[in-house]
Amino acid sequence: MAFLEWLEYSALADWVATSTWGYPIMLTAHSIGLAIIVGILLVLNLRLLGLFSEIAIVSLSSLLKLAWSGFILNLVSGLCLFSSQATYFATHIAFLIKITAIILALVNAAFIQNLIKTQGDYWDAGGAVPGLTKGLAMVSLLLWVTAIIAGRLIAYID
Amino acid sequence: MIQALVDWAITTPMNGWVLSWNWTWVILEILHFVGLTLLLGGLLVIDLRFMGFLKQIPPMVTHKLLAIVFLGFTINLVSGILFFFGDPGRYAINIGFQIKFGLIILAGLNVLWFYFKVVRTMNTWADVDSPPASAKFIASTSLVLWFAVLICGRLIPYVGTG
Repeated sequence: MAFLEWLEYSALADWVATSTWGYPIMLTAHSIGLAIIVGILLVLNLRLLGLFSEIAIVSLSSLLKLAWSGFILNLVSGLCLFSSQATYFATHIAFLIKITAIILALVNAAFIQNLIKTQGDYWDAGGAVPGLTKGLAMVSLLLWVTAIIAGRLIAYID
Repeated sequence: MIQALVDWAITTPMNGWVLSWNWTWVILEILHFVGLTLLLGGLLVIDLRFMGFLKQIPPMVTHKLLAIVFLGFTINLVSGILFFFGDPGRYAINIGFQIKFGLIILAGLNVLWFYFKVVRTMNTWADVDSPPASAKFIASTSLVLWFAVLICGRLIPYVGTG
């Protein structure tokens, strides 16, 4: 708790919380990062589930670098946003659900990324995407949508 | 004229419906965010391809993604209209919303330009994998415009009279 308070009183957190543009700038950056990471993973997951089958899975995986940069943007902007009200967010149920969903989604994404590395060419050559992989893709979609919903609810629930 | 639009919008059933339940607005916001990820996710692949990246994907194959681009756009058009009718006085005079609206019109015109200038002339490309400068320009304009739409939308509560 002391660390959270220290964070909240830091110069950065103070700027985000009290300046006119600090919070809006961080929120905007957070939306941009969201669009990039969830947008790209959405396309990739839908492809793994069988849509857009003319697009090679391996070719989509080259977008993952861009997706991860979107995540980094949200990690940084997220930390800035968090720090501005650290003690409040740290016990906020919507925020905690959001972070849990994101951590699980990241682990899931790492699994999927690895599966594509080892099986991607086989799938693109006509091999069937196994049910487990499709399951992971479905879970990924659900987790990111949960993160979006929980994130949006932060402002509406105490 | 704007005042007439606002005065009328407030009297519509849509206005009543949006305001009738506490959770409608939040649900619309969630839908709006999901819609934007569909729109931008699909466009990132299509536009990056026409900018010359992701060369492993045949350009016209990326157009299969237009289905989710249009799905995302439709979700956001409907939720956006409901937002406006739910609080017309706020949005009509908000500079962020006004600019956002203008950018969406421009993005639509860019789509038409893309179709007539790029898609219809793809058979003239010297190299099927390397788009000409005009294609790259139109595709990058598309991404710039839509991310600008996102930024303006996000700033609506913070500019003008909020």
